[in-house]
Amino acid sequence: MLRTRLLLTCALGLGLVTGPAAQEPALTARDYLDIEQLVYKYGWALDSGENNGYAYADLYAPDATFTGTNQGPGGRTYQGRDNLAALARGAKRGPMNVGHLAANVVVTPTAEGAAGRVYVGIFDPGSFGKSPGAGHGGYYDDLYVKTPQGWRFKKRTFYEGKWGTPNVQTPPPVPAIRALKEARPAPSSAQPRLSDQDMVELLQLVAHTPYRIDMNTDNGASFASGFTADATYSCVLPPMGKARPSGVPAGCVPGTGKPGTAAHPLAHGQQALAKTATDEPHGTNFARHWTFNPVIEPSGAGATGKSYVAMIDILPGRQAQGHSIFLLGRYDDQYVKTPQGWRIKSRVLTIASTRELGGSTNATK
Amino acid sequence: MSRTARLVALSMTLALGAGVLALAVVHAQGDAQKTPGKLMTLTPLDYIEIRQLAARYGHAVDQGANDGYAYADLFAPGATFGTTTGRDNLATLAKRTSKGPQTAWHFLVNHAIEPTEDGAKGMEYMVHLRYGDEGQPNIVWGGGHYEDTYVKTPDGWKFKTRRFIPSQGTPDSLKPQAAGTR
Repeated sequence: MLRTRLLLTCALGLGLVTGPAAQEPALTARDYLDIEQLVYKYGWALDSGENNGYAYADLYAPDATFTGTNQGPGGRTYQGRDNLAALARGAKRGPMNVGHLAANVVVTPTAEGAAGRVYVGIFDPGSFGKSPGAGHGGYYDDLYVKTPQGWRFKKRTFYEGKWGTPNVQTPPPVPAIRALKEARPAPSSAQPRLSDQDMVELLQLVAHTPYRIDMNTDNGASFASGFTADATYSCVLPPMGKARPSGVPAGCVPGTGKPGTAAHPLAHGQQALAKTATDEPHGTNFARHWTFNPVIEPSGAGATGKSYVAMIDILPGRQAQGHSIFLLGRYDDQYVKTPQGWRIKSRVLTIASTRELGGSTNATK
Repeated sequence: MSRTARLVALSMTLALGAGVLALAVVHAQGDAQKTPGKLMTLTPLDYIEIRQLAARYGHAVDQGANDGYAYADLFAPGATFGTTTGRDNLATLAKRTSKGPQTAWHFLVNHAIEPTEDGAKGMEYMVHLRYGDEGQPNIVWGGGHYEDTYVKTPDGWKFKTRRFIPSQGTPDSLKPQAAGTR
């Protein structure tokens, strides 16, 4: 005991072991990735209402709570699996209900697990006859806990975005950035089927793709390079009777209101993929494809992924006057690992709603 | 030498050794021995930390915590946002831009990161969603992309340079002539 204390005193005296640093809570890279995936799954589960709302409820730990501070004067709190599932139920839900778009996912380790702060845009999904719109939004303040089933929400609180003076008591600011200390993985943790490196590379593949369409400096070569040699790209329209939206590729096929399949691709192979990208509007410093909530899972052949896409037409010189959302949709991807790295083998864009089918009730402004 | 004294001596040697090692590591990270043509190897944790940096940016600029210094401290010493440089100037910029502690305005996605010879570079799309400006409708207020370089400091990854470029062009003006899908 005395020896231990002496050793510690000595080390502290030299300033090499600082008190807070030694006890600083830490997460593994996998913990950060898993918490981020949990945050992204939230939007999918809430919007789709999958499994009668229980896909949403099961993202929470057993005793966890959700509080909407915007619900009534004092806010409203929900607890318990059935109560939470009821939040994610309703006629408008389904796999093409693109609503909750998460961004700016900040995760900070705590002694009990982790805390987070996440922006959310809750878009008006739009439908045939109604354009998608910016809706409303704000941020979530979160606590996460690691359960035997993985990371779960312990507490999630929504704050409606408000400029100026807050109308509810706001949580403390996000902690400052600091060097991440990596925790040791728990000895019992099973080896994930996608390594940390795989997850990071796949998320990067998804993140790079929009630049390769919107800025496209090389006739689609970079865009095509993200795909395998035999890859397909498909585009599926919302159900719309005889109407056909303008501004979408001619190869988009009519859909049924469910996520589409790769049965009728508009591009097959790298040359066709490069042309597809080049047929899209593109230019230096042009930004149009915003992707949100990328969820990636291992599959037999490699991995699958899904993400929301919001194509937003930012018109120059109209800052603060409102810009319209061209479409909301989802990407469903299949990825394979090649000797050159992860590549998209199949991507299906299913359009949920578009301004071009919005009729006169353009609520996007 | 008593057993305790020997232990103290041993622990000091170990501690000093560790200190030298730690200094070497910090040096390696700070100055990132630049080898021309050789890209730095980024670990998964490096990618995560750089993404955490950019995620914090949105909160710091919108909520203006710590009088704007939460924002300023995301930048390395001598770093720039556009033409603004210096901790105080960056803090002033954030304080001026902030709309208050309940604000969510700068939404950043598509964070593409690549290693460089001495750190990393990256880009993100940013869409301004104006939510909750009293008496004003909620709108897509603006958007574009950031272009960044990052540097690994003893306090973690920080911005070295960052600039915002509003989206330029319109789908119609940029539509390739031959596409004919309109």
